[in-house]
Amino acid sequence: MHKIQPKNEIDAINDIQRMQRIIEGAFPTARVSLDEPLRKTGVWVLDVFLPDYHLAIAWQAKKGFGLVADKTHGYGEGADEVFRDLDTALTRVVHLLNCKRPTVPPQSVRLKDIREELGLSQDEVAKRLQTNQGGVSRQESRSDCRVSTLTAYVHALGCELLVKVVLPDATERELKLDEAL
Amino acid sequence: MDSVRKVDGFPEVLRYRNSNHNTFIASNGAIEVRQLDPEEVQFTKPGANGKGVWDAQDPAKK
Repeated sequence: MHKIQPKNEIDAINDIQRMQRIIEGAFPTARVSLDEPLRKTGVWVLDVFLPDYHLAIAWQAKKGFGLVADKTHGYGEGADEVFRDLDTALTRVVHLLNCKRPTVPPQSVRLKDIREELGLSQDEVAKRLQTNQGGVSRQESRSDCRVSTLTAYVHALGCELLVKVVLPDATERELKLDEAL
Repeated sequence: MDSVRKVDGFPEVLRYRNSNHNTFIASNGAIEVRQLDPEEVQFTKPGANGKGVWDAQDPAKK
């Protein structure tokens, strides 16, 4: 016997399905397919194919959107660009599809950038380090410093410092910072 | 397990999706990695019984 779906279940589409509908409407010549996970809470992937261009849009309810459009993207690598909500992801997706541009992997940042991203002033960090604002400013502008100094600064931001060594075969090893180097 | 998918017609095979790759793993341990764009098989390994991902299935179970 056919089970009638409640109306709210029919209407309940998630953000990646909304994205799919918008892209199909905006790019009628694109081949668009939605790769649904076994579990609804898993990673959904929306593939958009244009001539000589492929954009993979991953989505998970708790993590948001991850974009990859790069033929050199390696096996097992994470998303190049991450967006928390549909609106910001969609703006970027439309731009990428219009221009057929590759996605951009995360760039390295400066200490100052991280502090500002966390909404902390130099004064606040100075208090946590029991130093003054000038000391924090000097620390942020140095091109070289002791690992212990860097660790203290990073801890003052409420973060952890990890240092990785990339071997010639591209495998990575995390360096122990609390022992002799 | 977030990226796992079923494979139509091959209940003994699971597909794990990455941005530009699908990894197929059969119940006999056979593995196949396929790139999406450009589409090509990048890696294959037979399972414990010497059969590949798509040969692993017992026809009686199909």
